Amino acid sequence: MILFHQVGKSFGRAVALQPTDLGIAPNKTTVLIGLSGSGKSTILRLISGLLVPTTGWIEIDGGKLTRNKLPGLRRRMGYVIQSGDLFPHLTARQNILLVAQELRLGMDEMASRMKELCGLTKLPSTLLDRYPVELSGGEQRRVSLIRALMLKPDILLLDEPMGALDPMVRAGLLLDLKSLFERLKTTVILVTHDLVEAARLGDWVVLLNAGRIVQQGPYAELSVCPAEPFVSEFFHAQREEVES
Amino acid sequence: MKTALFSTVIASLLAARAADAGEAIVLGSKKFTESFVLSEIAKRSLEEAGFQVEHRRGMGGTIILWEALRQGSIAAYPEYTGTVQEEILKRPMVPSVKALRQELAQYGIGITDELGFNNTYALVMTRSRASHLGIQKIGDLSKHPELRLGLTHEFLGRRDGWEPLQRRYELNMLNVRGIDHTLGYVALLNGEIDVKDAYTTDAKIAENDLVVLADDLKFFPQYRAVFLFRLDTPSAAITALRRLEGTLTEVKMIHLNEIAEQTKDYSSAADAYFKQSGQASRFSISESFAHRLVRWTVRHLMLVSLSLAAAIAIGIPLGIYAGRPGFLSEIILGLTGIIQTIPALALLALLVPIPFLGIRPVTAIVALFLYGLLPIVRNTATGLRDIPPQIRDAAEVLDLKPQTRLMKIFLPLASPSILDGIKTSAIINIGSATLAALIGAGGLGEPIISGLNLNDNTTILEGAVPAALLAIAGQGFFSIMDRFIIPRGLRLRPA
Repeated sequence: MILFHQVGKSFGRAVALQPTDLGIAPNKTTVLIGLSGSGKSTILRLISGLLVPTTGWIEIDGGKLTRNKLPGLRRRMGYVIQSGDLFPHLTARQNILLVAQELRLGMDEMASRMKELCGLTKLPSTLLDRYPVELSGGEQRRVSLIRALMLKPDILLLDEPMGALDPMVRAGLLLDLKSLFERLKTTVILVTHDLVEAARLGDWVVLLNAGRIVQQGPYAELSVCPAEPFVSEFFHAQREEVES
Repeated sequence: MKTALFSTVIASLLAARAADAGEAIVLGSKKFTESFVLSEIAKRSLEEAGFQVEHRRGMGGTIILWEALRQGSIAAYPEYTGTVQEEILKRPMVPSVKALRQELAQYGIGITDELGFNNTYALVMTRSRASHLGIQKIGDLSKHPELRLGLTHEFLGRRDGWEPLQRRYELNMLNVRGIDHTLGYVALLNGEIDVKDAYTTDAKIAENDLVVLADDLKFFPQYRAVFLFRLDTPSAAITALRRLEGTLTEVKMIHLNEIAEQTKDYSSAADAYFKQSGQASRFSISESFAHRLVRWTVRHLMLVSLSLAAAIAIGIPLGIYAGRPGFLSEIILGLTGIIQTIPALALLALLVPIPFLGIRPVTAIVALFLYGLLPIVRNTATGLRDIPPQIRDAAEVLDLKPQTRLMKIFLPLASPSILDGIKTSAIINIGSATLAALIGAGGLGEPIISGLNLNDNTTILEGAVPAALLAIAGQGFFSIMDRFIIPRGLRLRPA
């Protein structure tokens, strides 16, 4: 369980996230959705410790998130971002096994884990010896996912994982992610601006605007009972885009 | 890691020293023909007395030679009585050899008796220009303040040089500039300047029928040629030097200078000296061009590779530090940048007085090392700074140890930029190393400086062409290294 207690973040005068309370349920998929600059990525970066809150504090499984606890906690987190998070000078395999090697984990076990994840993410294992530039965008995301999942994280953080993909590839990955999340049964936090992803993947949807949570609940609830005019505007805009 | 770097640098410096050591007697000479010829003659005389002799040609001006002599990096060099009095001792006295000998002894330096000729300064003009303007004496110049004077830098700065001369003769020339001695003759003959300073034994004076302006106020002191030597030089070597006393008249010296300039070979002038003096020399075999070229190139490569190795060993860690934002990083980048703005020659001159350096190859290596730092430090720092934020985030979230992060992720990613910096450094150093010859450190600069003195393009090209080829080869070498050092994933183009 991840709890935000009046957590806020500003950069100088710019407020990225207003003091916010938020609970993220374990073993469910929570989708943070909003326009760019709404504060959704800030929340993800706060959880991963890439940012330190300006106000308030974050609780993870009953303990306060502090700098000392970060290393241990990070081992329990997997993190995937939009694109370009693979190390370009390492092959897919080297990217995936980097941390396991540093921790001197059993390589046989790691190899079978990698094979299993290739199956789950539908990445042909023949691609493992390619460098990131030799992979398509969708393949790169799958490698990045495998890397994030290698150490069986309790929390999987995904920052617009399908943002840079073309629509066909995206549709395929979306389906695969859905079945993946169902099988893993871990806590997933997914950041997106796309309603389709929210509808398909999210057990719980959190809509943000200008550094503030506007409404949260199951997708259907936001769609049917908007709490503020912004919610319906946000939903309308994307539907019109689809229909026009 | 730090100790390893430190010992690399120390090792490279020691290697340079070792290359410098040896049993040979080292002679120096100033940057003009006559000085070269005199040292070459002394070399023969010492070799006949059974000594191994090394002649460091064209080390620079009076101060550099005097310091080199005092520090013991050379054992002897040819000098002139007037210069000893005016520039070295700097006191008003009669520059008789006897008086000078007494004064020099307190520095541990000895002086031979006069070699026999007086080579004083003079102002010269082309005959046509002088007769056209009706100029015969230095005093006549006051009627033509518009004349263009091209004077050597040494003459411009000397206590018995241009400033006092101008005051003595009450001249008020409007157009005075500094120019290299040999190039000055070219400028004079081309009519780009009207008056230049000369040495009275310059072969060029007779050769080009130049007019020596009469020194009617007897301003110029006597410049009687002598050898200065360290008193701790073996006495047999001193005797060999003193054998040259009283053997050279002005006419003879002008003739020897002429031979040197015509044959482009100083040792042939020494041959002529020994033939005239009836002392046939057994040591007249000139070194073949191929042999010289190999010697220069090997020395050049040694200077470049040692300085480059030190610049890499120090520059990359500095660059890693400077890659992080912060005040100290800016200071590191700023300082290495400032070093780069110091002209190479000035940097050498600044380093020479530093203890442990002096007039030795190690000084050239230190100067080249300092020059080589900036590109490496800056490229390492920018290479690291340019790593995309996603990659930094990924490395942080994966919780890699700082050392793994640096060695396995950041440095490999910055490697193309770092290698570019090393490449730039190498090429700058291959070029700048030609200046090392000015402090007797050898290398391909040796023929370039000789050639400049002799106004001989062929000799200049003997150094300049191999230096250029070395630069190209260096570029090629590092392009090949790219393939081995830059990770394959960074060299691939997206499909």
